[in-house]
Amino acid sequence: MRLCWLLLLFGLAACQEPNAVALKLGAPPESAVKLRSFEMRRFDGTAGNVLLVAGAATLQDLGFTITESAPDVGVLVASKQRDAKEVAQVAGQVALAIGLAVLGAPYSPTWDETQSIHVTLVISPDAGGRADQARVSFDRYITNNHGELWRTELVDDPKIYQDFYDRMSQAIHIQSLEVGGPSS
Amino acid sequence: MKRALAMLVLLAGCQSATPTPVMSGKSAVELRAMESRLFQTADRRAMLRTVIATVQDLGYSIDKVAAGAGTVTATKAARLVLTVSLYPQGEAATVVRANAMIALAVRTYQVDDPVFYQKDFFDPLAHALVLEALPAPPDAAGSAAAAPEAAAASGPAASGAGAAK
Repeated sequence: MRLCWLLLLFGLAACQEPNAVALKLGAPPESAVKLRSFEMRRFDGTAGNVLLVAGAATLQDLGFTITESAPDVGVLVASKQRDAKEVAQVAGQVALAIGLAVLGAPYSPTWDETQSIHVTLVISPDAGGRADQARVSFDRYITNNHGELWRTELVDDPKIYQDFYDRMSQAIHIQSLEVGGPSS
Repeated sequence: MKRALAMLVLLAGCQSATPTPVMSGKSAVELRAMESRLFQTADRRAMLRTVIATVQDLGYSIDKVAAGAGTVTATKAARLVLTVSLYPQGEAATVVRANAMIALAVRTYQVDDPVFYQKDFFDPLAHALVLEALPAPPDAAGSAAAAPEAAAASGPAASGAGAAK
């Protein structure tokens, strides 16, 4: 009888408590300062609405579909689907499944199948109010070969952000040429 | 037989057959107190921008923005959904109300821990606003179906309540 109650207590304790999970998940990222450094760019002499248009053009050039737009507060949200399969991962999983099957242990190989990339672009006046700044963040939602959403990650490769802002700067320049005057 | 029953209880404790949201059992007053804060500023647009910046800084991706209504919905790691709404409180203050839902296994749970709202949202927001997050008055705008009535009736009562700690 005591063993049953102990098993019950351990079993319930092993279930995660939602508030505890939310508290941990909702905490600021540990690398928040580092992320901010490459997610943000300041644009002197370029109005917020010009930045927003350039941001939308850049996202569309990169194959994203705009899913939310709130120009009053400078927000653009976009997403795109891409293949996430990597040959090495698939081969490794298949080899593992075969090896375990030989040992008599069933194993269902699992690998990344597709990814959905979400972008949030926010244009806002900087703290001093003298210029506008852009902050972009990329998230990957990865679905496995069983159709389950099994991993999410914030993209933290500075090169991706640098490439985005380089393209956005080109878009701003093209816009200014099309308008035929200074980008303001 | 008893051991089999105990195992069934174990399994039932960790899983659910239906993916329906599990709402908090706490009272509306208790939930409102933990989810709402008063800020001494009437500039809702600037506040909304700061809420968006704070939410992005916390690692959320924005899902929806309704600037006219003053609401933002954002998701973190595809599991934690945060909705923030701004309500005017009198002529010189704004109430910010946030509520969160967390997905765990096959169910979604309403987050009802005051520490979550204080540490993981209002502290970063107050820091970004450089304003103090005051407790929202009990009859603050943002309580169910009370936004227009609260805005009309607030005035001096809200100013006094907002200035108190």
